[in-house]
Amino acid sequence: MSIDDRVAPPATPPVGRPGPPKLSDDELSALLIRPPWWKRRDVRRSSLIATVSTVVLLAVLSIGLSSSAGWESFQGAFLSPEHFVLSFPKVWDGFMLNVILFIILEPIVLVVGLGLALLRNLSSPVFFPLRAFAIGYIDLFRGLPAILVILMLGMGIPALRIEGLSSSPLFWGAVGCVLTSAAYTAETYRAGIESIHPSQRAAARALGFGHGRTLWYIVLPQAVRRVVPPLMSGFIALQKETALISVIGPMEASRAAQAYSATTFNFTSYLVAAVLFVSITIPLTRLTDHLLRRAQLRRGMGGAV
Amino acid sequence: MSGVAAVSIRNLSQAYGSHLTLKNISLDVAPHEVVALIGPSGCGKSTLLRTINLLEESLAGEILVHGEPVSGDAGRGGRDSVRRRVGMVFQQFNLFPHLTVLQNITLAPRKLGKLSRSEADAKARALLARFGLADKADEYPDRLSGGQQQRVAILRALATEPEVILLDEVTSALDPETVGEVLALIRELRELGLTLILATHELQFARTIADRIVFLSAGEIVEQGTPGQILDTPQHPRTRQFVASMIHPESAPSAIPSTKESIG
Repeated sequence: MSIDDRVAPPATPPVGRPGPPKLSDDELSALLIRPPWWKRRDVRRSSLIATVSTVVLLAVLSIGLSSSAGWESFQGAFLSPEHFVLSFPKVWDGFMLNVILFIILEPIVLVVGLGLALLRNLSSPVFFPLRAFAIGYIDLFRGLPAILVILMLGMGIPALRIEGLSSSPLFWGAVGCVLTSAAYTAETYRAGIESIHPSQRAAARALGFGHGRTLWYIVLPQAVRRVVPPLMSGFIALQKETALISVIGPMEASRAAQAYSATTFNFTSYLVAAVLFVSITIPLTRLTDHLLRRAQLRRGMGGAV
Repeated sequence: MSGVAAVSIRNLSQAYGSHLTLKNISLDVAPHEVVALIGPSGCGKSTLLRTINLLEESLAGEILVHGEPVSGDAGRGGRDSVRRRVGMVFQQFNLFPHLTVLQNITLAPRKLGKLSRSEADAKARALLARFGLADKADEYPDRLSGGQQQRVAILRALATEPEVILLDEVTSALDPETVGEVLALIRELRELGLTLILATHELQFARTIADRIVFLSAGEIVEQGTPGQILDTPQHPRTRQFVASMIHPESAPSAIPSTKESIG
């Protein structure tokens, strides 16, 4: 029996169900602007549930905290409005040091990290020592706690009293921050470089570009664009790391807060420092998220890569 | 065939790891000749093209471009200068997504051919206009259809003024309705007098464009000849099977040795 001999019975809709009506173009565009009533109900219901659950959780937390035995004294020591106002100028001055530090250090970290990633990417045997150095460096400084690096550099190098080398703990603390962050940044770049499909290199090589120029014109521009969001994360981490420099003396925000609390026996100054840090890091985090979403959208548009 | 071959391949062998992909391939392609490589997936036609362009290392044998040895030891120094004389177009286009169409085309002439930016731009725009892509010059590749992208990729190879262009299954990744525009462009390359070596699954296209068809199977040249000889009166049983399977995919016996590998 061939396909033509088979006769399919005519399909009929189930009895008693006329089905939804055919909509005109106007009715369809009206639906686009104003969704049907049951969709609107769902949206309203979701936001109501979210609001109620948030309010309930906050109520339970605040009742729980304020009914704890030490609440009164905690409030006085950590949440005192007077001390907040009194300590603010000193902590603010300290925070300016943090801001100056991370504004100066971040570009250095980006450049040093890129340099390390490029060294690590060298393939010629002539460059083996450089590659080995980059790998060893990255392993070492990603493995060491930043606070140890800062302590060792900040205490150690000034103690050597070498002519011509700075003896400022602030300088060496900053160097420690850069050394640590650069190791992470190098790995971020490397991830980006390795994420570029080999066919991109093949296309560049086929056009006659050598190793270095392929990297410079084809691979790096794409790789860096791809890792902007994780680089921003590293930037935020660096901002917090500048607080570690306090362990070797410089009067940055957390050190200033500590100094204030040491003389007044009130810890609200720490809250001030926390608020200042967060007032910069949270907006930056949001910006990072925004960049990430945009990058995903761009990549989502497809194209053969 | 007279004079020095544009591309001369002598007993070329190639391997991925311990897997031999090409065995003693010998092939001379005359200037202005169009040679189509056909054969089942994994037969080595893409590998042959990639090896000619030195994107893959050869194991033994030699490759001469206009009489100059480029493979093996000889190729190590002048690899990049060889590639400048041999253009390549890939199955997946491999356009640079961070550059506009114009920048994709002008990058090599500017950075390697030492053209100034305005010279390179003018030449690229002329090329684009000539092949109906003038309005796409400032678009990014991902805004183009597959056929347009592949045409840009061909123009990018053309802009380096190569003597030979290798085309690696350039229509295999395209939607059927855009295949035609790419094939038409390849036909124009032929009119320009370029030497073309193309790996393809489009037997009817190969018939109309190629001076010679080379059938490969399992890394070896099984049979070669004019399109009529290979497609209408193939001599070797493997060629017969392959041609039959391409023309009547459903009825052909599936006795072609299964050599399907990850290589295309």
